[in-house]
Amino acid sequence: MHAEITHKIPQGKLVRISLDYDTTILQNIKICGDFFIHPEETIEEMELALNHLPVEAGEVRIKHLLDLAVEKKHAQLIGIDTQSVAKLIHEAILQ
Amino acid sequence: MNAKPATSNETNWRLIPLETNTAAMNMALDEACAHEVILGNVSPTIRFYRWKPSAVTIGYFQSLEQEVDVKECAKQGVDIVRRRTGGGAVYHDYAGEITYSVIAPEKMFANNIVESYQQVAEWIIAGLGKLNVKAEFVPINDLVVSGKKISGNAQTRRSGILQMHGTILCDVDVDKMFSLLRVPDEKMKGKTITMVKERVTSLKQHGADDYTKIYHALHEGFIENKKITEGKWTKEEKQNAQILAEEKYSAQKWVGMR
Repeated sequence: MHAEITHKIPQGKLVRISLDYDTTILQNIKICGDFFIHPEETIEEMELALNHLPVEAGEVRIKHLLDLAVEKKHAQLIGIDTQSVAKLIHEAILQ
Repeated sequence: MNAKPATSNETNWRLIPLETNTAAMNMALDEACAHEVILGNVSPTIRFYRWKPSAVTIGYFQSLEQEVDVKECAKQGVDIVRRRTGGGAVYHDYAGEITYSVIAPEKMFANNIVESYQQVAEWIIAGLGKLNVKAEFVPINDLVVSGKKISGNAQTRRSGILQMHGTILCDVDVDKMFSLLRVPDEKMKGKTITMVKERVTSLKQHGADDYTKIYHALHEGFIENKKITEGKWTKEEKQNAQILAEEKYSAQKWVGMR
């Protein structure tokens, strides 16, 4: 199944998540929007970190994996944060 | 590497005066220039440019399909290019806006990214002040006049170089803009357009409608308190930009990357 969700982060930017999922795993996660991440390629690292994640993964686990990707790249996020992205991904699966 | 300058007013800057290019070439020139600044072959650079044909740029993280009506752009002869900076989609009308870029060692600016947006924003504010337009910086990356957006800006930092570019709206046609850009909820398109009309302004709406005068005012604002020399692209920059325009910025692989 395919899910999309769009959310404007308060004091931040518009984040648009799209992903595919079946009964077991998440796939093809895309985190798009008008935010800033330095360095920019961090986004691919973040998306990759969530690939094949069990569909029942909770917000805390999703955030943790995103944080690891951000740390790995020593990245700076502006207008977007891993907590909000984790919440959105979780919501996208539930909706 | 050249000696690292402490501040933007101690540096010897190069200014590339207003020029007109295709979308791919404009983005390629930013990248080619950044490369030469990294190597220390050219001075930190300020450039002004416009877009012919008019073009839509999208931010690095944006989805092409979500943000742009690709078919409509083709129909209207509007170019589309992905920027290497984040931020939102922008319609760069040939006659309706001026774009600038600042390409310099990041050490010349605040380490904090939002603060560095403000540092460059001050140059735009100085320029608009010469047109008796009082603009203010609104974090993260906007400039407003009487609370309405007149300029959007975006930067990337790579290999110690800050590359920031932004648009200053001279005359805005919101209906045309949204014939090319999509909105998050297409059912709400009419409402969104009305909202944007209320939230966006242009220099024309503030009594400045002469493109040449606007350019000269911005030019003045940017060069104030700087050692700056008018210059040209080097042969290396031109050659590199030509290759980048063709191989990277015109390629579907890049434009449709997300």
